[in-house]
Amino acid sequence: MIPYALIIAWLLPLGGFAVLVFFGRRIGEPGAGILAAGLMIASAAIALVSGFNWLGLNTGGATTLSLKIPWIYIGDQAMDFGVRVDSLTIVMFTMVTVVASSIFVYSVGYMHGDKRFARFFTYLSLFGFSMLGLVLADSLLGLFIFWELVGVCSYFLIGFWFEKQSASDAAKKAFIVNRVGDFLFIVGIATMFSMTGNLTLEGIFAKVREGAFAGHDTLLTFAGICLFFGAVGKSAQFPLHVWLPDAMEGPTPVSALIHAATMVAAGVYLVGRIFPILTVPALHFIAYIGAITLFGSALIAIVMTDIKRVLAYSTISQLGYMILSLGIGGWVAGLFHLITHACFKALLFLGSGSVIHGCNGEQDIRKMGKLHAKMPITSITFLVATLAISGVPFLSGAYSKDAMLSAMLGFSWVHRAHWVLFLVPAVGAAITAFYMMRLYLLVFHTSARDHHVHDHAHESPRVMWLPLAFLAVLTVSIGWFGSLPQQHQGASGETAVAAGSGLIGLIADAQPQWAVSRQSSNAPHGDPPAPPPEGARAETGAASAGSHEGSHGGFHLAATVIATGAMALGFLLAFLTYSFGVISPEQTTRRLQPVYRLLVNKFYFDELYRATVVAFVLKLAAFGRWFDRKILDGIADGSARWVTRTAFFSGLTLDNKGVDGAVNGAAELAFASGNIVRKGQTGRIRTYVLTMATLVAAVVFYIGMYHYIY
Amino acid sequence: MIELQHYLILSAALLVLGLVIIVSKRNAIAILIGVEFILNAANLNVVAFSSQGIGGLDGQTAAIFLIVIAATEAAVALAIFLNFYNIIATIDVDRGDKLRG
Repeated sequence: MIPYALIIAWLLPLGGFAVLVFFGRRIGEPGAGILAAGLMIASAAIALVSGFNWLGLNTGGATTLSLKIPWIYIGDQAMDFGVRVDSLTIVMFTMVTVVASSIFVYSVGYMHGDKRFARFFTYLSLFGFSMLGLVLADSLLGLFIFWELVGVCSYFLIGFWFEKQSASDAAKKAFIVNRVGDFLFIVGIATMFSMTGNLTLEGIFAKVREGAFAGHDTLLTFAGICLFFGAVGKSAQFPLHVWLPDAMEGPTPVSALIHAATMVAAGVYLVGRIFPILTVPALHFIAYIGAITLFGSALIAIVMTDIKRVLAYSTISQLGYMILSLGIGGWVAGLFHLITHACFKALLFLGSGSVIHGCNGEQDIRKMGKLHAKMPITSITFLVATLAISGVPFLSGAYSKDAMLSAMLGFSWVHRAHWVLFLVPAVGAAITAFYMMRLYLLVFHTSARDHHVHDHAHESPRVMWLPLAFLAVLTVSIGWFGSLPQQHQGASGETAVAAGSGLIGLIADAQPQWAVSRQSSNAPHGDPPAPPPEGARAETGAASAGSHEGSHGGFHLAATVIATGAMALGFLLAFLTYSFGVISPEQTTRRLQPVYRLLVNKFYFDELYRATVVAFVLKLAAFGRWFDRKILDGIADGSARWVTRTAFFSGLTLDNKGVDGAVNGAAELAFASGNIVRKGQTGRIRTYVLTMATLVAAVVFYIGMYHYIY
Repeated sequence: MIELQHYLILSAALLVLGLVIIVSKRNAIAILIGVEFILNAANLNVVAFSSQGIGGLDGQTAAIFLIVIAATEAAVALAIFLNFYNIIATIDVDRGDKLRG
């Protein structure tokens, strides 16, 4: 039942897309938006109902419902188009539809007056369909198809205002950078298929478990890292993070939906899905990529002055947290953070969109300030999200961040060599609090630095602030749902129902019970402190999410204290700098000039890529041009010349002289012989008679002589 | 006694005479006369063989046909000459070489 309901919910946005793509222009504004938003809300309603049904039928353990339709046949091997529903699917599906619904509604207000209003909702609907398909897909192939679909929607929407050169450049950049990751992704898929002969997740896991990669550990690591690179591209992880900040050229609802809440989180979702086949080295790789990303982008976020770019780097940083958390085995915590982050980051982006809308397109936070009085609702909701992302206790962000940090602390406690993997996120938490509070203060408080912007600023219409309020409520409360199951953790028998009643419990239900990494005995990489025995689901889920027993509780408490302390430190610094003026940002900047320069230029990554990859590609293109011009054209020209010559030869010599000669010759022969013969036809009777007489005489003579000769 | 060869010699003489007239004369009427010579040479031949009892009365019959043919031929020829004169304003056959190749 539930898979069918979800399929219907999944196809609703596709229906919206189909209608809008053909009749969008006729439906116009605001009909197109209302249609798309209505369908998405219906989809969300179905998802919520399915979710509650799920809670009702879930009797413990990781239940998986699947539905398969035979799709492609390769030889006698059928590839099914399958839908796989487990509790993670339900949670993701609900999150995507709910967040998308509020963003769709918001867009009706935000895109008001745009000349391509209907087209915007066409793309949004297509994106909704693709993203939900990505969540539902049960095979790497299905994942990849929808992976590309969301990619192309992202491309369309970043370049939505394609008249702007920067927007169309950003769209191309996003698409091309994602290609790098997708290429490795498909290499990983191909590796998996060649080794296991299967593309469904279940099938691959079963085959790997049976030992399809026995003796090929390196290959399995390689495949895992290749698959992970798909996530690196899509989730904007180092070193493919460069596209996400530029993607902010798209309309703000797009940034909120695609480049903060859902699509970029698909990479994290992918890593969560393929988690069982990730080996220890692959997980280490993933963890360090996440750590580098979260730290570097948090630093950059401090110095950005464009409101959306601050949020973009913040998104990259938070995605880094999730990736790191998955990398060290904090599966539940990472995916829990994915859900909470989707809510508050969507809220932050919608808030920034509201600010931009209110300030008539101004995005520079240096020109804002003191907007709190002008747009109180935006300000308050923005503050809620800021507090949540910074990890203020009892808001959603705090629960997920504490869960992640406790997992990281536990991990580095056991694996002392990897102490960085706790230090970096802990410091990152402080930086996060600092840059988010800096953003909030600069935009909504401090002084009005640009009076022109300030005077014209106004609160957004209701259609825009209602979604803000809705998401704010969600941001505050979603963590409470998540925290519920912790109180019911006990013997595993009846706890499952209780565990299933909360968000963390739901996610934990879906946690893979088996993983390659936990099998290798000498390098335990699972949840701290020791690899749990197979089947201890509640144990593994709870451990990373913050269990209450023994040392786990200690880790959790310590992590909470450290995270809260880091958050407080960040806030304190931000207040000191921007509210009380104890620390002058200008002086600090001047004192740390080289560091500042480095950060403002985003660690020179764009320049680095321009100097290496882009330059290489340009060189290659120039070589290709040269090769084309000189060699290929040379060959072509040469053969053309040869053909011309042959043609001239055959034309002038063969045809003109030979064929025509034969024809003309025959004609001339006939003409000449006719000329000779016509001499005899004088028109004079005399000649005729003479000729006739002579010939007759000759014949007679011949007949007469005949007897003598023979 | 007049033998068959005498007839044949006369006939041959008439034929050659007719040919010579046709070849040498320019006047169309003269040429027509030459033609008559030749026709009559043939006629003489036919009758001569018939008189010797060869082929019964076939020769006599053929001679009568030939006379009729000669008469019609002369009529046609004279009509051609009249038209010839209308076109070229002469009956000199050397001037009428319009049919040359």
